[in-house]
Amino acid sequence: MKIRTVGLCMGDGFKSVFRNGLMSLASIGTITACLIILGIVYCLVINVRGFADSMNGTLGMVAWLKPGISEAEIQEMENQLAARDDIGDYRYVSADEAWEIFKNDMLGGYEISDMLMDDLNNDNPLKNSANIEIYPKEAGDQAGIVAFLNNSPYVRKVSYSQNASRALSSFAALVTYVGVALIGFLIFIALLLITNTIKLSVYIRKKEINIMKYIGATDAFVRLPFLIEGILIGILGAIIPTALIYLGYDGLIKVVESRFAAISSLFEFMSVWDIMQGLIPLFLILSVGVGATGSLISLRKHLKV
Amino acid sequence: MIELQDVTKVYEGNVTGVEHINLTIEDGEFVFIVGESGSGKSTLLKLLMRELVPDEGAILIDGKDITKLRRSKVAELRRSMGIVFQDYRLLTSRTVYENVAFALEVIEVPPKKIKRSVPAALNLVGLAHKAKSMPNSISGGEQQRTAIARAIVNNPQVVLADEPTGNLDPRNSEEIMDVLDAINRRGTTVIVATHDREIVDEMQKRVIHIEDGMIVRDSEEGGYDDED
Repeated sequence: MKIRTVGLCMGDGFKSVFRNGLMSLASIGTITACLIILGIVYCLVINVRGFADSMNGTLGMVAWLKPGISEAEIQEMENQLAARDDIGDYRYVSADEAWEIFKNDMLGGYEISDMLMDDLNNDNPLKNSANIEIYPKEAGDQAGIVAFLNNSPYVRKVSYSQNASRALSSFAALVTYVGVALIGFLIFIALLLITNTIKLSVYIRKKEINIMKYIGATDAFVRLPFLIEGILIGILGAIIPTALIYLGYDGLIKVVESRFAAISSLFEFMSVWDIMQGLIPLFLILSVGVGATGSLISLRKHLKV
Repeated sequence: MIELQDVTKVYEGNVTGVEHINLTIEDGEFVFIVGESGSGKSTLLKLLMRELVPDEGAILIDGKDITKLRRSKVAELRRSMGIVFQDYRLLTSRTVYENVAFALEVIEVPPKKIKRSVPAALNLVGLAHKAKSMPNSISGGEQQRTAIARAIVNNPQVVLADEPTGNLDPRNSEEIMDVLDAINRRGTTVIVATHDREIVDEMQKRVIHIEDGMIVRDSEEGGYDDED
């Protein structure tokens, strides 16, 4: 198709949005409403997932190694851990290191005589405490890793918090599922409305489309103005939600941080830019996709001439 | 050359459109397809413009079977045809000139060529002086002549006209047939489906008579009811 023709079709598409003013406005309004709800759900999902991810760091488990384990066996164990794709991070803590950590964490505030400390240093009370700290990639991965560790010949015991892991994993999954279902429903509603708007536009220009087909216009030539109209409605419908979510989310974070310090100390919100980086492409893909799909559905029947 | 080989089209509900049609139309011919309403005239034209695909048989245009054309190639086929309808099908929001130019715009003809071709087509149908008029402000005959100008502006090989005089009085009908005759004399094949006895009798061209979807008469030259 020639560039001049594309320009003409674009002009037609733009004109159509205004020619069907009220229906276009209704469609833009619906897309706006859908995307606002979608944006709110998105913020919620992203923050819960972010929280779950940050909690994964504290959901580490400790594999206590069997006494007398050799350097080679520790290396073998580390290789096995490195080969698993459900493990985010792991760290070997030797018995001496464990004792140092214990001293700093537990004995730092107590007066202990140098003689006793020398004795303790020479005969490490945690000599059987060599361990590997393991952090799963996701909370849901914990069970599989624990099973693996329990079957390992080098591990005598595994310490982990089962309930916290399960609860967090389930909550993150629930929010994601509900979010996806809600988003799917809203996309369906938006698609339905945009299809009706374009159908009206097609109805108004039915005769023109019919003539075009008889005089040898290609399907692409007939489609393009309607496609542009649909995409334009989609994009116009995405502008207001983008601005509202940006301002609303930014404002909410500022209010929570300034007035509800207790919440912000427990829960670190994703930054507004983190949200926008994902949300703007999502809005753009959805609005353009819904607009284009709506156009193609509306036109399908009329192209069979 | 147009050739129909044993073409049958049956609509849903087992309604016969056309049945076992065998027909050859040479380049530059003027052909009337006559018959009562529902006899299969329009079905035949729709098969030729590839709006319908037959259930059986082949339709060859210049040796190519158009029944086997892919959907994307139908546009190309239609560019070699000019189609005229009983109800004119003009865009009422565009002038006479714009309606004719529209046929070239949609097939992406350069603007310079459009500026040359449209006045020539309007001249041929005798409507140069009405170029700026809106369709609703001109007579039915003039509207049909606009539709014919639109059909021929791209210099098609074939003009298919489905009841072109169906909405017109005898005087306007005669004018339309004169225009179609002039187009035919330039070498364009013209196929007119009609049940207007007067114009068929007047023109004395080839007549193909269809009844219940079958050809019952094919006269090289004659009137509506003439026997071979």
